Amino acid sequence: MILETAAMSATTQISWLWLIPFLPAFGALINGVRGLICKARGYQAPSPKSVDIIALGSMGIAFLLTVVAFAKLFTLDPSARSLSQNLWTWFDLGGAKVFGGLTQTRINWAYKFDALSACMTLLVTGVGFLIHLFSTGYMAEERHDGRYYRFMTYLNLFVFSMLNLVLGANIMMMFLGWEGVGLCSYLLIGFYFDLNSAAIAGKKAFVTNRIGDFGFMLGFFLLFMLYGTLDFDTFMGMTRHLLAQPHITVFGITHAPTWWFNLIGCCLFVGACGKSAQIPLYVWLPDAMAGPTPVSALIHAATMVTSGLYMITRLNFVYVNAPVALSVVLFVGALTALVAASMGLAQYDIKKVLAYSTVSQLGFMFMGMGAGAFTAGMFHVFTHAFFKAALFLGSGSVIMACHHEQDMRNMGGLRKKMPWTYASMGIATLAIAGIFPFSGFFSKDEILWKVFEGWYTEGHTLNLIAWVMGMIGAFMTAFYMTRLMVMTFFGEYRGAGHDPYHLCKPVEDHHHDAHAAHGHDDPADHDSVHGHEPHEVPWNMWRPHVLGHLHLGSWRHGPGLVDLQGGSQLVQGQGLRDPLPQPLPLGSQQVLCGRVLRGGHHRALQAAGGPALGL
Amino acid sequence: MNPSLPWFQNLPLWVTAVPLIGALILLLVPKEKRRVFELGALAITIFDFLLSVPLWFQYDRSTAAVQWVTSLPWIESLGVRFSIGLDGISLMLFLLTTFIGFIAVWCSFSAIEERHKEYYVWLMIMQFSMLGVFICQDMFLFYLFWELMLVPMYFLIAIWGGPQRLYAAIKLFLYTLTGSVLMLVAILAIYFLQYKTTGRLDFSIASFQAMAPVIAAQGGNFATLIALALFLGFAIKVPMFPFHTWLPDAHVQAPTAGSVILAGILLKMGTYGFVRFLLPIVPSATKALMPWFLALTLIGVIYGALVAMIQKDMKKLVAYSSVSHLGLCMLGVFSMNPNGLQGAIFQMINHGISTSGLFLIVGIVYERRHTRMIADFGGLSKSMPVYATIFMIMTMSSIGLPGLNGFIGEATILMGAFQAHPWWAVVATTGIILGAAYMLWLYQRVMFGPINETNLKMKDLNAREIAYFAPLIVAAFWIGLKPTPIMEVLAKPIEKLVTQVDPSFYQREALAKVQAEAARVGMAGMAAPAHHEAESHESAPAGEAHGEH
Repeated sequence: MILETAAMSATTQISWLWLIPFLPAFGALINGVRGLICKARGYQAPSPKSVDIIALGSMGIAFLLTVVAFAKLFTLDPSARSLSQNLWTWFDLGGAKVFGGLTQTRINWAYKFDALSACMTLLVTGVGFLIHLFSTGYMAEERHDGRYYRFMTYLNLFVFSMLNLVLGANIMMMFLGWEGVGLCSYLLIGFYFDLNSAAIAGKKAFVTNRIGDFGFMLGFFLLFMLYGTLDFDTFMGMTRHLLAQPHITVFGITHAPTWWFNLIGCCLFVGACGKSAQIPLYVWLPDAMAGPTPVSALIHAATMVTSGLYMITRLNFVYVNAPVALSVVLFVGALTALVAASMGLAQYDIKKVLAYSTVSQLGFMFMGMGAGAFTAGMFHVFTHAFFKAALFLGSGSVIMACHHEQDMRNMGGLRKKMPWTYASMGIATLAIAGIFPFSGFFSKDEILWKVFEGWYTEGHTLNLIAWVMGMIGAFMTAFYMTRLMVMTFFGEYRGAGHDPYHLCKPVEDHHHDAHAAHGHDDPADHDSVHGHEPHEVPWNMWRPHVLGHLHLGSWRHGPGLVDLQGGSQLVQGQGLRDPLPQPLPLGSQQVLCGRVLRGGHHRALQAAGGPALGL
Repeated sequence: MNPSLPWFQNLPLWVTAVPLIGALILLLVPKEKRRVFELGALAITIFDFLLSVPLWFQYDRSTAAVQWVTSLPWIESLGVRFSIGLDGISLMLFLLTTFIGFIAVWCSFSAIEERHKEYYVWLMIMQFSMLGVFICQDMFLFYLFWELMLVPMYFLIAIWGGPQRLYAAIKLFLYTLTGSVLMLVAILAIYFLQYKTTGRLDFSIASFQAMAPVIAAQGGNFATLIALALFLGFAIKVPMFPFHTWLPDAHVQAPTAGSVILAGILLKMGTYGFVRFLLPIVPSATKALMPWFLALTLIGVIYGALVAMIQKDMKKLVAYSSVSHLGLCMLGVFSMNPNGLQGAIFQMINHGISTSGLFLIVGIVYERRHTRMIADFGGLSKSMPVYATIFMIMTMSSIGLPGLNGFIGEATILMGAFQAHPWWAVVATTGIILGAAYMLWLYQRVMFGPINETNLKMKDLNAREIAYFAPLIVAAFWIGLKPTPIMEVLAKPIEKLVTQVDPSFYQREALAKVQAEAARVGMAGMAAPAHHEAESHESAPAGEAHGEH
């Protein structure tokens, strides 16, 4: 077919790109096989130290390689910022009868590292590494009962799948990662498999995601029928042709190209709804909190749940040409942002609050995408990953310090006992609530501004409705997060009417290594020297969430990173909403810098930015 | 066509003969020597498998022709010849048979406690007859092997089966015999039609396939009746809804090895029959009956999955999942395009690997607890971690996780079906959601949750058990990660098959090349022609199918 002809966007082949995803895979393989051999032979499980070295080592090297690849990206010409590697032919879809003739398509096992993948890869390996580090402390009890290797294996396997998702050079590779993260999520939610609730929650997550996959699969089948390929680079080159057609006939149905793009966009969005927990497929995410807290932080806040957004951004050429699909994305996003935030108001379980908060923040991201502001949406993905991971890790520390108590009604007054955790969570709360100058302000404000602009300058009523919903959601965000902080850290300790210093027994001094942490459930420790002193969790638990505040700096650099995609990624479309002028204007930053491009923005910013600033 | 080989140089013939020779040798051993039968049968089947491996390397991938052909006169007055050979499609199933063969023997060591001699002899004869079905190139011979296959299966279930084994065995026998008789009627009808029109007495598959235009040209409902007879014959074997009821009974009652062979290979006979006979011999009648066939297929996919979901018996659940998976396989066959057919053959292989694996998994807990009720288990992950890992891999392979074998089949089938019958494909895709639901629910109820005292004492897999799972797992990953070598084997025969079904199919390729060339010169030039051609294709098929014959 038309494959070879499609503009092959310039890309540089490098031979070591495969190491980034495969290092965690090797980590998982080595730890998993070691653990299984030990179990099969009845030996003691592999020592936690060696498991740590392999799991964290592979993650660390993968992160460093990502940084190197990222640096290399900058040495390239801005119009050709893409690295790729073709490993082998995965399978053959030749001989398919699609629009325009027979294909000779082969699906390659190939990776592609461009600006968009780079952001996500940095996120996955970076936040992933921190959460691995946190897990060494959080999973202290499991370190000694032979389950630890399994946890680290799953985490590494998850990172492998997630990297396939973000690095894959075609939709099949993306789907490989897409299903792979679903599997790992299933395994990790059900990590405490002897609890029925955890096992059921895992299954629920997988099956709900499968319902989404149904839409995703239909979407990429349709893409295949239109393009005769599943390769991202080729899509880019061919979109213009398809748009140039007066109408397209597939399956004997003739419609304008936009109609087909709308259909594909809606199908794919069903997939995104499943993975990114949007209405009506959000039901699995709150239940997924049955998994260990690091899992909630890594998978159900920072990485996996953003894959729907990544997919939409990656396939932006479909969405910018699909106004109806974009409107659906906008409305569902706004609805989710509002409804999930309102659900978050009424939760008592600290992790459930964060879970609904995640659903709500994902709704904001989809709102941004729906307004055609892919960059703003991705920027919020980026900032949210950091502050939500920090919040989850903080809540993990709190839960651990309170003997696996998750009900906020039984907490309170932890501020003095857990200063690091308190400070970290406090900053993250300010960020998620959208307080200047924390990252959440810049990203959320940007989204709301873009949505508002759609109404203000182009007159889309739906944008106004979505904007109002988003604003209410943003208020609620500030409210439930403040509620969480107050219930957890302020006031008096309310745990079961006992002496807080006994019940909410702090973990050992932070100079101790991780092994110290496991003793915190041991009543004998009450009498130890440190027993009555306020204590923080060990360093390997608090440092990751402090590092998580890398996002503080991201307000300046974050948009820059995401901006990279502007040049190479986005196809100028024919959508109603003018897609993405380049370079992409970033609302709030312009206010800060005193640069406002168009006059109309002044009032838009007064309207949209003002309340956001107030939050 | 490759030159005919002398029979003694024909490697596939020897591979087929080894189990028969082995069975004869085992007959000479006194029946008390249990270990000799076990190890002897294992040695024979492993040797058989190793002997079949060179076929993979010898196979010429550049042609669709039948290879390793040997054709000897047999019953000359009827035109029956002893004619054998393999093409890419039958080669893959042939190799699958030798592959599953030794696993089936290996898993029987602990499961079979009585009448070892007969058991292993029947197993060898089973293997022989299954290989025979795939190797023969003569309808008469095919029918002989097809019927022969039923006898060992009957005894395997009736002697070594569960409490209701006789009922299950007789049901299996009657159902499949009914199908075979209908198939025989169709074979004879074509045979006599051939004699009437050409004066030839010839049972060879090639000449049967060459009869396709003549059959289509017959008046009345001749072609439709032939298609229906063949369809019923194969559909019962597959089994497709509503002829599937023998399958759960047979599976539940059969010993583990019986289930493995039944799921792994025997069911593939039906789908193989569709690919080999129904499509090439009566393509136009098949197309005319397509809505009915597709409806049954889709009911099979969805109904099989729904019924699997409510089963209380693990083995019955896996049996119903077979109905669902083979429904998907049939969807690939009925999409009659390269993707769909390729996917269908992959699905046959994958189903052979993952469902056999699941039956082995059920067999393992059955041997330890003598129950298969899901409610009796729970939390086994704690006591059996290796088993849990293998079970998880097989579950994922069965529900089509990318990177494992199941996905390749499902994705290509759905791609193919989507091109041919988009709405049916959309419905079939929901079967994949259900697949995840029933398999994960099974896994959750058996492996997760609290564990009781009895289950806590269950032993994890021993070395022998790990050893027979290992090849299945390697195959699952191999097909999942790099299926292209198999696709290369299948490419030419499928191309030939598609041409037989739809002679104009590949004419479009030339068109695509022109377009590609035009597009290379200037992208703007291709927009219009691509559009018009696509449109004319879409309106064409119905007219073509009837107009050509």
